[in-house]
Amino acid sequence: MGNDSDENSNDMAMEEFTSEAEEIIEKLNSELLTLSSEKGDAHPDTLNGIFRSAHTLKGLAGMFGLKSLTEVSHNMENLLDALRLGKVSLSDGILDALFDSVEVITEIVKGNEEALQSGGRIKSLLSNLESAMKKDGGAKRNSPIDSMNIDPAILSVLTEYEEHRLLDGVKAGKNIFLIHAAFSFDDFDTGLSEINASVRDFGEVISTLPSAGGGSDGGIEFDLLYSTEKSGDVVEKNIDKAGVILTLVSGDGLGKEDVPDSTAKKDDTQLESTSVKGVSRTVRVDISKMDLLMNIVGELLIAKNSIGQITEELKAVSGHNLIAKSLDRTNRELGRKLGELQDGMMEIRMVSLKKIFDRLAMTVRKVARASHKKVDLVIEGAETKLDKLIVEEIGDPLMHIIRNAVDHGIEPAELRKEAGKSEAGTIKLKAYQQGNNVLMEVEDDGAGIDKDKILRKARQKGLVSEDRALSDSEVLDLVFTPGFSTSTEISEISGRGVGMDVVKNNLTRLSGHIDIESEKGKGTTNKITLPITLAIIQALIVETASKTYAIPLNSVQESLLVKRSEIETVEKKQVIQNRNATLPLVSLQDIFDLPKGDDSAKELYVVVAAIAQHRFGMVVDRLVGEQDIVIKPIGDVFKGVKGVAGATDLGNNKTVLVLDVASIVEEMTGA
Amino acid sequence: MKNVLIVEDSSTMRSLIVSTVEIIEDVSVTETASGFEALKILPQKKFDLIMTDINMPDINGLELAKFVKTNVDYKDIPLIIISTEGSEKDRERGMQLGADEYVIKPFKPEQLQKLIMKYLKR
Repeated sequence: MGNDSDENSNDMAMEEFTSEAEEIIEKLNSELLTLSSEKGDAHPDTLNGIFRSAHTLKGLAGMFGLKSLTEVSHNMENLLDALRLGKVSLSDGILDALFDSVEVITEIVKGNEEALQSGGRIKSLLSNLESAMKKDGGAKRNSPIDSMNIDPAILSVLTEYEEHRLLDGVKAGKNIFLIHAAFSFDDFDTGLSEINASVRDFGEVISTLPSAGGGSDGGIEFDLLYSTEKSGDVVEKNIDKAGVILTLVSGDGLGKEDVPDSTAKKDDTQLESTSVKGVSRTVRVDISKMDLLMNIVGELLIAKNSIGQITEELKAVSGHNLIAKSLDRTNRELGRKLGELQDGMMEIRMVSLKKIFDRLAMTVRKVARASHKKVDLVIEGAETKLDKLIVEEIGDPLMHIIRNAVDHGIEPAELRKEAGKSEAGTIKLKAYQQGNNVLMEVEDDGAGIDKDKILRKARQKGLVSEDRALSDSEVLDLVFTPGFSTSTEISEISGRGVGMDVVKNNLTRLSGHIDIESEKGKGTTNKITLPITLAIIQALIVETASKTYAIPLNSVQESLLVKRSEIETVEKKQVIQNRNATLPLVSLQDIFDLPKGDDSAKELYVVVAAIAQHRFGMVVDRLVGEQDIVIKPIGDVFKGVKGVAGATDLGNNKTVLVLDVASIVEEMTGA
Repeated sequence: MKNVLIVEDSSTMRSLIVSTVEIIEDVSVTETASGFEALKILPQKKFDLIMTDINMPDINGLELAKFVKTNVDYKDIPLIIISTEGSEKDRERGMQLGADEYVIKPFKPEQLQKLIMKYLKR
């Protein structure tokens, strides 16, 4: 075995690790948010889930020899273990330390460990975690479990944590039941999650022990150890499944509260069971593989069009009319199926905004703390779906807007009180679909934007002449002007002085749009409109005769710098010698009938493009660079123009044409 | 051909374990991320070795170990628990339930391979 393959498999393992670590971090963020909103009322499963995430991370970090990550996750795990075992009770300080841990872990996974180390961030976090453990001497360690009257056979399979949960229940005078249920092998997981869902809301399933089913039908039986304040009757009624046997292990078996409404929980039941299924039926796919498939679909569509052309030609040949007709039918059917395939591929790429919204919730929490403000975040429509690439790109702009809302929008509590508002400000983050667009709104009930101040500043900077009167919305639009920033100094919280112009630019690149509405004293609303999906491709941006074009990179083989003297003329056509072959040249100026630029340059650039077996060179003045672009269809006016696939916005309001290399090839070979 | 079942919910950890086991000659690996799945897979072939994690979302490794070690059909299959260092009590319970070995992550691939071969030879 060579070194190369070792390194390759290491790289792959590392890539897998990073992707799983990112997933765990997302899960941690969302679980911690639940924990912080529910505090002491949080279901024990929440805390245990967080513990398991930290535990998994520690295990992985250890396998990859990542020292800092091991240390941080180990200390985090210790604290969480103490929390879930009741040795330490949850406080704001502990929550902060946990949030901070996830932040540090995120940075380490991103590869920013050195910066953390040199800033002393890891050291201070570790000591915070440690002192959080020590400070709390309050909760007592439980007494040994053997003093309880519990069957040792039940205890033998419990982990230390489960044992603690059991003991906690016994001590609190709860009823502990063994729920025995039998299932067939095919659907026991569904059956179990149904039972779980029907009892989870008023108790806790501590453990799930399988045992071989009786009889020869290959069934399987389970004993669930369940702790609850309800009576056996209530539990039985809620489970509502034939053949379930309830045995009281501890407690008096009598209920302490009223009968819960079992019908009201039906929806939850359904949700729970589908989500359990979801876990095992999900496949993680690298997005580049999906892009590849998408490209293939695109190529298939081109092939289908060629078949269409051939069919037309065939129709003109006498005697082949019938064949041509049936070919035509088949080809149309092919087109329909390709369309479905394309839609299906699009559908796969759609992901919900939940992850981004969770991250934003973290940011609001952090920024509010740092600026000593009280802020309630209301989230609506986190389940709204968008193309994965858009969701990835939308994070930063939204983050910027939401930081602005907390930092500049919401006033300090005293000022709010004076203005007759509630002490805590509210930020609403809302997403919803509207036709082929998704709308996102960030709305705050803060101070609003001071339009006079903006106008004054714009005049000072000479962006607006003194005598020009502007409408309110025109004034608000000024915040998107490059270099415009209203806050007198760059705030630590709103960050590196990235202005709203960058936000707007990023959105424009996604074919999106942003509007601001604001009323002084009442608040500000940012409204973002985005397309649900995009065809994003990589393109080479070139210039010729002072015009800019985008060439899809998938058809570019290489770019050459060629001396004018190397260009030969063969049969009235310009060619160069390249890779032992004659490469025909075409000038973009000729294709688009552009005015001839100066021919004096001694050197020029040739972009070598290839479609199937056809290779040719496009002569351009300048290579600008590579960029991910979104192709937008162009109006009917350009429909007949050969060589154009669509238009794209490069940001900065620069719209350029995207070349259709395939049709240029057709033009050249056909002529 | 010896059949090995690997139960581990972390996909990265699972592929690390699988790649450690796979290179042993004449071994066929079946892997799953869930204890429930493991219960479904067990009757499908004759396994020569089971390797399981402890902390998993549906049933934990101890529960799986007890199921295996108290079942007439499976009790003779050697079972190795591979778990990240944690509760000493969990380790004791695992051994009491009849687990044959308790390996702590991070493990050294060569050592794990030696251990596996010891059980596969029997």
